[in-house]
Amino acid sequence: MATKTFDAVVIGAGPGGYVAAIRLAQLGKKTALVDRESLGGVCLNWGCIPSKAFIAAGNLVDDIRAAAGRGILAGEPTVDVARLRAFKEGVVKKLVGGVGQLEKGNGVEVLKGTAVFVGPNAIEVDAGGEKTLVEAPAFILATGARPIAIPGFEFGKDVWTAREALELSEVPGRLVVIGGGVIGLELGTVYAKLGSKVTIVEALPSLLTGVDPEAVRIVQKGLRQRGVEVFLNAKAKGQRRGGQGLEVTLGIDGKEQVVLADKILVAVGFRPNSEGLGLDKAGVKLDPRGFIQVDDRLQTNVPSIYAIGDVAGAPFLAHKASKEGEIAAEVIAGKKSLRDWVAIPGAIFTDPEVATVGLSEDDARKQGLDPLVGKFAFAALGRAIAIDHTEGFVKVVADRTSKLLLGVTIVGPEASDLIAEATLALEMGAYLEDVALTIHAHPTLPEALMEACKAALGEAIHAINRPEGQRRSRAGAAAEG
Amino acid sequence: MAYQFLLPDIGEGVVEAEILKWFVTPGDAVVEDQPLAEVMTDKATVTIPSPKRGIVTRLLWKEGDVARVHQPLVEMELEGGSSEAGPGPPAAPGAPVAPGPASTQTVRRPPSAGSGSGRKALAAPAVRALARELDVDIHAVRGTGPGGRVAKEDVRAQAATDGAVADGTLEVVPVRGLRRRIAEKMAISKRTAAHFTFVEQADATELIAIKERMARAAPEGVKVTFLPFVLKAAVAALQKYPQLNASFDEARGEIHRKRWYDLGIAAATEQGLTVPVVRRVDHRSIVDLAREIARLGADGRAGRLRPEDVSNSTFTVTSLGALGGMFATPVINYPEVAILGVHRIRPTPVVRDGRVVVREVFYVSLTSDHRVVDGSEAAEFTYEVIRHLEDPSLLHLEGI
Repeated sequence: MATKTFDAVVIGAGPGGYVAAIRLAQLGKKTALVDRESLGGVCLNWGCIPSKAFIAAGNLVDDIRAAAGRGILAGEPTVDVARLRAFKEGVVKKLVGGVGQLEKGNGVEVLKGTAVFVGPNAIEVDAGGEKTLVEAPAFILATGARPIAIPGFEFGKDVWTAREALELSEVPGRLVVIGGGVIGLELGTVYAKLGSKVTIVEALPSLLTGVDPEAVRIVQKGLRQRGVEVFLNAKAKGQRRGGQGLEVTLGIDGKEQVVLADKILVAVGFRPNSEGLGLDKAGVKLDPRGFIQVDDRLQTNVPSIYAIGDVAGAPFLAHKASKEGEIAAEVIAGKKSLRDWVAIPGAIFTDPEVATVGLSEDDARKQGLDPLVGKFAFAALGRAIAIDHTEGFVKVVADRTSKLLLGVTIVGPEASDLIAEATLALEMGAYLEDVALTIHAHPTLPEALMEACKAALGEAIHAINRPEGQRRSRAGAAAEG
Repeated sequence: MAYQFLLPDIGEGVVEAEILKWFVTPGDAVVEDQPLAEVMTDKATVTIPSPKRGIVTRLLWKEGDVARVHQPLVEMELEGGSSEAGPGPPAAPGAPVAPGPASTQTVRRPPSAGSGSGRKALAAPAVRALARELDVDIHAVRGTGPGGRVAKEDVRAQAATDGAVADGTLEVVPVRGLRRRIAEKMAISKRTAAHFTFVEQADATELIAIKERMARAAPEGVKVTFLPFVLKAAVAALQKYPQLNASFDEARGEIHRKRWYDLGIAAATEQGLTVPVVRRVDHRSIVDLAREIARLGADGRAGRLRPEDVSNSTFTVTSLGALGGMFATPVINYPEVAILGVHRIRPTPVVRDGRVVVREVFYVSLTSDHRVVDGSEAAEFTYEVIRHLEDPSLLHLEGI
């Protein structure tokens, strides 16, 4: 068997692994990047990027339909699925190619194959039967996670994971989405826009559990307007092919109900890709759910092995994996890096979008704080009115005494972009006044964050500043609804 | 059951106390009256006993923190039922509290005033990165920015300090307890009072003779020193010049002249300067004074002084004995208005009747607050003290 030796080896070329490899190479380490599939991992190939290509296309369809309201009469749009798929594939190819060039340009050796640990300092890479022993003093595990299957819904031709949904082989007439979390809602929304009749099935009492209920309510309204049916507290019990298509049986309040579908998308969570890697041979410790346990330097209990991204636990976010990849690489290179971020932003590409960072109002109360909350509705913002996207709001949560910003929830147009400023503010340790006193260009959507901070201080310009009691009771009423 | 023990009332007028030392750590089982902590007020060091039996779950202050009276001090888990057994000691007001939810968020909590424990630094990512690079614990850095925000310069300054500590060129001694009290009091005194010092020479020949005679005649175990004579001479002068046995209340614009004579004696202890007070100096005999000075000295060295031993003097005397030097410029024991320093007695050539002779000579230094005491008055007071030290029989004559 051929043997290769490196300073560091990264297993998994997703947004965590490929970034870690580049950073290692930048820091002078002779680095290998191993993946059994395509560079870029789920994110570039079957996740974030293709889904955003579709979502943007879906938004365009929506906008064309709505354009009549502004006097643009384009007629009912039709979607050429094959061309849209080709566009998506072009996007993915371009980005994957870019990653390949970056690895090459930085001197990272890319090894295609399946990696298995044979000891704490060596793996065997199997490329279609051709095996190579790869030795290194340091390894980074970035193998990610995969969708959880539920009993009775074995993945296949009829039951999709997000990956199949993003192949866009067809636009099914009826799509049942099991799981009302981020992926289920994003893909449910886009298929609804492309023409599917979509049904969302969520086992918990609320969609997007953990997100501010007021924001969820607005997302739910958006779904309703697009003809998406939502079942809450509903368990997907089984499915079978019947005369009219797939019959999906739901258990709701102890009663059974059947929903018809042409395709079923299951998006109920992730399990870590920590099996089959020989981690037992290397002695790496896993938690009961199979996630690799790491410290704040991303090191496992085996000093030569690090783990980043989804395989090291929630939140399952590409940018969290990338950041951890940089930190692990720097630690291996002898730098004193540490997971010490204040907050990780989260973006949900529903319609309207939702983005969050730091504490929600509920989080703050659960921690025993009495937060100062400020809210500003896009309906009162010039730019939002001008682009005809007035749904949603910005809500800021701050410490009542010090006015230190603790968290921001945005639901509305371009929320995923708007959250960047809020994240910087949190990371810099900004007070409400810092954001409120910063001049924001007019007319732009980020003015809503400035206004929300001013509202928390009782100084909003483009909203009537109500006494806090009234503001809070309104928030409470919305939370109940 | 969770129980929060509040810092009890420690003494009249005491509003806060510095935590000097914890005798327990979380997880320790304690019984009633077992010492929990040693705290220092502006009056004295006090041991705080546990009011109940239980397990200590959380110490709410770090050593060196200043807690206010009736603020929570420790959290305890009481043994089942014992909390219902009877009321706690009156000095230990406690309140049951519900355990709070555990925090899992990474978002930093704002620094809360007062409690320094567990505080997360307010610092931008670049500053945090610099701290890691320089091996500085950013949460321990005192930020100079708005709201205590840590700047890069603060991190670099801390790194320089840490480096000097590491290579042994700098020793960092936390200013705690007595040292902190001394620092605060001295600063207030110097900032407030208009210090001026008057110095004059005195002849101790007669004083030495009388002291020796009394020392021989004193009861077994009583060591007669010069200090009782100094206290008596000071009282003689204070009775004549009451403006110096006073305190100055600047806020009210009042001078409070005292018609009693409780004299502080500045004394060195292992922890630092303390000023135990000898009460009613005018009513006590030399032997009685010697006894009381000895007791205060012993208690001071043993750290046993009670709040009432060290508070409310009317005037202060400072003497370093063999280290007394020629003279000094003592700092007033604020809010008093004057302090008398007596210095080392040594054979000195002096002119007597036109001839140089060797006499036992020492100097006295009187620092006064010039806002209250005029120069001539300070001088006259000093001469009055010297007159009684050069001829101690006057003390008998005047019945002081």
